[in-house]
Amino acid sequence: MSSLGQLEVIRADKSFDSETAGPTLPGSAQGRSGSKARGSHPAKSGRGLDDQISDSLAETLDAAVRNVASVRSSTTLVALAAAYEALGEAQESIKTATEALDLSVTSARAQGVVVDPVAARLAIEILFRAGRIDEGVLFATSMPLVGQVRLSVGAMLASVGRLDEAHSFIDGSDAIGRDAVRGFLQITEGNNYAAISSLRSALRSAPDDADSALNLSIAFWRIGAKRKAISTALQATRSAPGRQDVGLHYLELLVAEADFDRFDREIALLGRLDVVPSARLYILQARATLARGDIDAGIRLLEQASAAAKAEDDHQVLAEVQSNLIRIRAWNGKIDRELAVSRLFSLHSQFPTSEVVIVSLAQVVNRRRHAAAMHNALESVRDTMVDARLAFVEHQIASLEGNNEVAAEKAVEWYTLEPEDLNASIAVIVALGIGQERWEEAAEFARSALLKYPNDPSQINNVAYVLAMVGKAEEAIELLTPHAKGQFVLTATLGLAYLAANQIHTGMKLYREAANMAEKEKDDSRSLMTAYQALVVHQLGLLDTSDPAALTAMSLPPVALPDDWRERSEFLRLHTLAASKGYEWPLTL
Amino acid sequence: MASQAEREAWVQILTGQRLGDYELQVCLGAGFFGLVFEAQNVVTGARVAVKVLIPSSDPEAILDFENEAILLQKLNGCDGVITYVDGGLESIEMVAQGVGVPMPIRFHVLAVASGSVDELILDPAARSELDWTERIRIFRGAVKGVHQMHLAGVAHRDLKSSNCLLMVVGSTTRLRLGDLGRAKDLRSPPTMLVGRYIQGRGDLRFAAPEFLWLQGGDTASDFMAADYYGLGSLLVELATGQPLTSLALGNVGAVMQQAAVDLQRGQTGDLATLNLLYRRVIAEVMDLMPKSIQHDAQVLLANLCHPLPTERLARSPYHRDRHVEPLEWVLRRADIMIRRLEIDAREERRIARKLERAAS
Repeated sequence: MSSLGQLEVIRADKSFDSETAGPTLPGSAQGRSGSKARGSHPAKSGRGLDDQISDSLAETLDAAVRNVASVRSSTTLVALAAAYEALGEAQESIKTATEALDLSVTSARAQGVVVDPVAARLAIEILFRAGRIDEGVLFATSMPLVGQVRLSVGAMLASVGRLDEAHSFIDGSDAIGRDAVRGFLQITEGNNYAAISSLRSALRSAPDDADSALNLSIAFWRIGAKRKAISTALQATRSAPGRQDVGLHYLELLVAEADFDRFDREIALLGRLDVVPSARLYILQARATLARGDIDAGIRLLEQASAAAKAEDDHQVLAEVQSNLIRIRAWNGKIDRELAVSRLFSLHSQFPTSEVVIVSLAQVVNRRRHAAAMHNALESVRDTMVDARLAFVEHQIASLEGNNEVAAEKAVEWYTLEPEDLNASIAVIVALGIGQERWEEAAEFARSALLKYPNDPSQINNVAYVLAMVGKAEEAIELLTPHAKGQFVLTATLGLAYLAANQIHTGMKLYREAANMAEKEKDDSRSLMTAYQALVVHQLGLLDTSDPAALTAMSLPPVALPDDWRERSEFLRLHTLAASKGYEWPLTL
Repeated sequence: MASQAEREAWVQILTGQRLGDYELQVCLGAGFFGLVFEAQNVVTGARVAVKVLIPSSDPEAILDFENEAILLQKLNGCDGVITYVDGGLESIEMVAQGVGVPMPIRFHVLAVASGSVDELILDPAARSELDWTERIRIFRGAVKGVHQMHLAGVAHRDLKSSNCLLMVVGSTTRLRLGDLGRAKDLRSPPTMLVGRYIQGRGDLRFAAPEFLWLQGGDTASDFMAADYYGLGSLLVELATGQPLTSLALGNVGAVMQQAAVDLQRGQTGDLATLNLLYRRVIAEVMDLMPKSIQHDAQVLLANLCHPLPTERLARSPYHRDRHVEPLEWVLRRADIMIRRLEIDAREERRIARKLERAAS
């Protein structure tokens, strides 16, 4: 446990990308890349595989060109557009697909129906894949599309975030698979309950629909139905045992729920299925291993993840792995914290758009001088970073700067977005209570946190602190007593609770015990503890109700502030508070 | 591969030339490596089609061409396959820098067809006019041809509408399979390196998914499974004008590039994950078919075009057909579909007559 009032998040499982984030468009190409091991590499012998593929692509184009030469129709033109697309000739592909759609629209206007609906669908898809969304939508709305074609256009629109337009196509379709697409659309909109209904319906008609099962699992997770989320994720993996995205999602949920037995069984099953571990799979294994406290094995797995990410040429994952390796080595004391900060800033300059590097940095930085560089780093990802992460990083920066007001505001924001996050919970209690003296608000969060984490020492410490300050000193004493023995931070807070209960002698005695314990552990917390003691004596008004000379005699003897106190957030928080209250600095009795 | 200009030049050179007893008259069409001419036997006056291999073709194309002749002769008793009449290697005289040079030309002499199925479906207006009974008869003809080939120990491996030739005799039209350049004798061992079979060959829009994912095999059952997929894809072409792979997988080039990357890493994709996608595309195709045959067509396509090749070879899903030879159940189902469509047509005529009487 860290020192009083300090949020130590360096060990948190926060700077990994989550697999649970993204719903999957039904029938999309996601997860179709290779995941199983091949027994041999037959194509590595003989003529180059690339040459053979080039020949096939050339033959595809040749046949399409000949067909267009014989009949110039939407059917032949869209085939030619597809051939150009396969060859990577985007402009020709777009031009030809547009011509095919022009013919379809002209014919539809003349006849009142789309004679070649499949060609229209393929051409619109080509435009969408080429990023020509507006043109695709314009064509789609110019024709009376029905059935699967209408659904397909709606699905494409949903996948690019044009949700209202997607609704107009999907809601009007009665095609098979509509519920799956509608469920995807609803979950994308954040309408999780409606999505659950649609996706359940989709799975009733197609129980092997892994996309819908995955999306349903995400929807369950988002509403907090974790057991259902895990069982639906399991259903998705069994429907598509070869889908990496589905398997990773299931494993992610098991890690989040600390269900490591099932996690291990699933990893063993993947091994039996010949699944080749991807970088992301190694990362999940590392997270599970780290969560179980096996740091060295976790680091080894992250090193394997790093090698896999290099082989996959996946820069984002590589940045994620490298930044976490640095963070964990710093946490584990294998490298100096200042060196870790320097390496992470260097990694950030290498991967400036990687959010996880910034999050790792926010966990490792612990000096005020890092704040300006953190501000700059954050600007490069601010627009794309998810809200909860942004709130976390901004809270950390504000804490580094000793800006208690912003730190409290961001902590509340972070906690609101991630109420299940232990660190968010600690942050909000510390920032609101100790940093802002908004004790009643902090107490509400504290009671809620205690229900969620009844055995976490940091949480107990902070909750007791806040309870003591809102007049619930007896409750705080009851909470701390079973845990305080041998723990200097908890013992100091127990001392605070006794002071709040007006048992001055016991309180001061416990503070002295705590200071002695801290010294034995060679922790430099004595200075901070002395400052805290002085602060709470002021806050509790003990100087007005007790004999000041006696209080001073019983209190911890004054200790000089550490040389670098202006760089340390835990001192800056107290300094800002003392300044706002007009208390003398350094805080002494 | 011959370029368009090269092909046009060879059409000019060859038109009017004689190869053995056959005079090349009109170019009927061009393929990737060859040209097809309408020709006449100068001795008997018989009209035939002569398929010529463009002389600049690479050794693989020459091998395919020679192989086609051997297999066509082997299949000459099958009425579902184009008839091989003659063939060989003849030289024509070409003039280079004022000097006459003999140029050897490889050719096959085949029965002349009235056209190919793609001519009926590439124009959407014409396709929509094509009677569904006729479309299913075409499909049935192709199934029969492939069934005969498989019984004779040959796989076609390049099934598509342009390789389905129509022979009009009197008032009847029969389908015969042509272009056996990629065909394989199922009783002989693989003739190419194993690596050449994993990706298949030819127009990728028609390729079965195992080839796009570089998982094609070199056994008889692998070749037969690819033919089953080709038959299902032909039915999809008859309904939509597009092959199934194009409808289901979008950018086939991107699929193959990803598969190549996976292969280099020693990994491979799971074709079973495509199953639902294929079912949805089949549902899209069903929307374009008459209601009375939708269910049968859906069952046929789901079986013939299953993304996993081994599943295509499974026995008939219909209990009464479980003991018949593979593809025989498909023929039976096609017959049932034709009967259903004929009943529909009769019913339509009856209603029309009734309305006519009521109007008068």
